[in-house]
Amino acid sequence: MYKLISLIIAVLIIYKSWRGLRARNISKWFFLLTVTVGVSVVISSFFPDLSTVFAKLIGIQRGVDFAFFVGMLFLLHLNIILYMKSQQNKRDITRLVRELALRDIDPSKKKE
Amino acid sequence: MDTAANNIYIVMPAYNESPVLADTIDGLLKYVRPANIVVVDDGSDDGTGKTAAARNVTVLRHLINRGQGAAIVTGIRAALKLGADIIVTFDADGQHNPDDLPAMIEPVRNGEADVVLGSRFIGQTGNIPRLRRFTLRAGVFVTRIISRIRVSDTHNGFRVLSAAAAGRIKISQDGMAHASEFIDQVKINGLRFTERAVRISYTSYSLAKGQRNSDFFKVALRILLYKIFSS
Repeated sequence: MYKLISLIIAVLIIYKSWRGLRARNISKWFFLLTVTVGVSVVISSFFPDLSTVFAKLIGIQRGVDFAFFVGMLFLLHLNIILYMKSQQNKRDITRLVRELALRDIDPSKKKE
Repeated sequence: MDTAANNIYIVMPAYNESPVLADTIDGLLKYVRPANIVVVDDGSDDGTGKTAAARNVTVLRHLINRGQGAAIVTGIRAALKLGADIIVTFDADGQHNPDDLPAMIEPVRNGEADVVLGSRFIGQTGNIPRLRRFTLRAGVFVTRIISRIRVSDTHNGFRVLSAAAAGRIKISQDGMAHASEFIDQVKINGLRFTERAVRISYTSYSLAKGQRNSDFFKVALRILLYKIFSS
């Protein structure tokens, strides 16, 4: 049953990101990332022992721990990207607000 | 104080300060001309901009609230555009004493320093509430670790800087963390700085309007992230 659920979720993720790519809402790199995640979810569901092989390669005993570890890293990465984007948006808004405020400053018309 | 010899501009960020702004401006008019006071109305909705304009000072308006750091940068840019030689940042909430202005300006005017930082912990420390004193001291400690600079008061909005220093200091923090970033920029740019004693009046109004003690953690986190992502 879980294989079917993970397959549906992976297909939905890939389909959504494909639509996002077509609408130019996401970059092709982000699309590739979501495809990789989706395919990985399907592969690890159908071949659970495979994750144990990768886990042992980096010194982790259980495949599920490996999946958890990779998931945490992925979420951390996403957090950093979103934080940096929100900071950039804030900076852009401030710049815009500042330029509008400074529009009327004219050094040649100093008040006495 | 002869403000004509050095073109001195006061930059005053103001967010909903209408009840006290007129008194703060009047206190400064003893020392500078109205046009040399730049009030940055940071998206207020209580008529702060109108109160300032009634005093015939230079008024700039942020269409939306962006924070004290952002307002100070806007004010500094305006002052530089207007030909300032010396720029003073001064809080609008009436906490600062305008009579401290001459002593604050002197080191920059004489060329002894590029930046003068007001400190409430030099000399008579006055009526600083105990918890506020603790958080301010904690801020000084954090600044010493992060920016490796020894100052006695990191979050004092009363500062004086030369035009050259103002051109080199780059502030990216829109909110209260700008105060720590300012000190960091002094260090990064190798600016000559000194501290002068200033008197802070803690009133129920200024305590309600100013930083909350819990803001310390927020500011510390912001400045830490700024250091991580800017280096």
